[in-house]
Amino acid sequence: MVKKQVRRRKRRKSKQALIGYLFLSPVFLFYSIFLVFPIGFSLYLSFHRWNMLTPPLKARYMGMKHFTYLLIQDETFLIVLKNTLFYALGTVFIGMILALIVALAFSRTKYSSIWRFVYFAPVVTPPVAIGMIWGYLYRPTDGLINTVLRWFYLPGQQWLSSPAQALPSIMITGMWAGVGFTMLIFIAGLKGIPEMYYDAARIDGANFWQAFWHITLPLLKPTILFVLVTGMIGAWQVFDLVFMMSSGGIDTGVVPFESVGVVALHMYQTAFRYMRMGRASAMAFILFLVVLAFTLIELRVLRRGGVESY
Amino acid sequence: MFKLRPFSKGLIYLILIIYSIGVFIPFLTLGLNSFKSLREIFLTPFSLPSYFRIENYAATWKQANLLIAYINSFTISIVSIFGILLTSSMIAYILARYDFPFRRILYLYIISGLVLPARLAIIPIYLLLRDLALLDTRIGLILVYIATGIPFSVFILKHFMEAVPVEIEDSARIDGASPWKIYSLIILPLCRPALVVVGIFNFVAIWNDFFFPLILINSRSKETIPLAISVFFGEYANQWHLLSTALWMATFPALLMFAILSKQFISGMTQGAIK
Repeated sequence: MVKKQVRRRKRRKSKQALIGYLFLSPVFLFYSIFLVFPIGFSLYLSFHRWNMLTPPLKARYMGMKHFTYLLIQDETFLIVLKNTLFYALGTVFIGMILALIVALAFSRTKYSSIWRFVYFAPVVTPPVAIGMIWGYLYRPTDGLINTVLRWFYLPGQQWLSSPAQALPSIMITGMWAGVGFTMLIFIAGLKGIPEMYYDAARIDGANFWQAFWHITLPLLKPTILFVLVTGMIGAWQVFDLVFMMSSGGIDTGVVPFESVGVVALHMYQTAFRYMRMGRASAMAFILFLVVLAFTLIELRVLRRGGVESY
Repeated sequence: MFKLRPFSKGLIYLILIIYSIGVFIPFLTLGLNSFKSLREIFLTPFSLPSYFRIENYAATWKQANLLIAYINSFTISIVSIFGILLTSSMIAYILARYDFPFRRILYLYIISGLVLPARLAIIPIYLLLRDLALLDTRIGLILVYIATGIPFSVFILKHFMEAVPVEIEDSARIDGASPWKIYSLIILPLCRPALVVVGIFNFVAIWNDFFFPLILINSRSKETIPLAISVFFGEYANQWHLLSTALWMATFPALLMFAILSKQFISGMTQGAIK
């Protein structure tokens, strides 16, 4: 009797496995070919010197030379890596705080469909277009921003034309473009907090700030983790805005590459302008590692703070 | 909810109004400039146009290749989303419900794509598409988008499916439903909120993407909206009346469309698709 049951369970399990593999295998193969294989291949390329003209498997083996070159000799790469770090940390953290403030305000209003349109607008505008619009607004002589500053008797700034201000200017634009999406996630998170917690807090005589610190923020932690992790992964790869607002674009300021360059842009130029595929792959791989390390740290820190899921 | 004093209520509206102004001024400037002549833009950049120059639109529509770009962007986004939803929901369902060897490892294998940014594998992707003769084709771009969309989508969908009660499936199985039937007729409809969220997440990313088309697409007949704008920008540098018109036409219709869809999105999110 028992034996029969075990056999039946075993048969059921192997049937499950069969169906499982059957469902999975085509998608799996596709995923492996179009995402995992390229990532692995970029690791291979990063140890070779290759200009795309010869067959890639005959490329000359370079060992760790690309990596040592990038991390020790090449000054541009380290500066660009630092710019990217600055961009990612700045836009994600400041953007997150701004998004939370507006999301809190938003969750207390009626007429939500109008406000929804407001914060969705930048999200669905391609960053290429946003970069152009802001390039126009930032113009030192007749741009909107300097004009407004002058109304208030404040000095106009050089914005994209100044090496020191160019990257922060792009970051402001980046936040303008990204805050809406972060807000959207926060609003969903806020709606998921049961009303009764607030009712209980009110009965106990808590004020708004106490409720915020002891109810809203702790319960919002999974949302914050989600926003932080996805936001950082996106910000590390920033490309479009910098491409349009630095020397790639026209009519905006022309500043040296070192003051605005980010890894994705540097990699793009190294690969597709100078045809140094190996070195560009090594850059990509260093960034892989940095992103991975940061993601693991974020997960660890927030997990310790009481986030159980993921 | 806490009852708000009039002061805090005022503060809330102040925040929202400042935010809205900040969001809309760039769009408004763009919209106004699209009706002006170049001279007017430089002399009176922020006032209403003296008369509405419709001819800007006629001139730009054709030059900027916007009709073709719109068709391409739509086709590529919709087909990619459909592909992502189909593939990801299948993987997510199997991983959430079936028990077989290496299940956990397979899940991690898929999820690892979340921290391995696809943009940085662009060189091998370029080579792969070149060797498959898919470079400069819409299909090539769609395949790349589907692959890069899978990790995030599986992650969200699996979480959501695990919360769906198993009893519903069990009763269907007893009634003799096949695995495919259970998946397509029971699981998919139940996961609608999560599917909507995943769909819109990916739609936004694909619709706005500039990086992959820039590298993988060459011919103007295949370019997407972001690529079309950047090409137009290169050709008509400083012609801000035409540039504004092109940008306005490239962004406004999409804006309207998403405004309508966003209600779906919010309800999908609040039904627990993202936790």
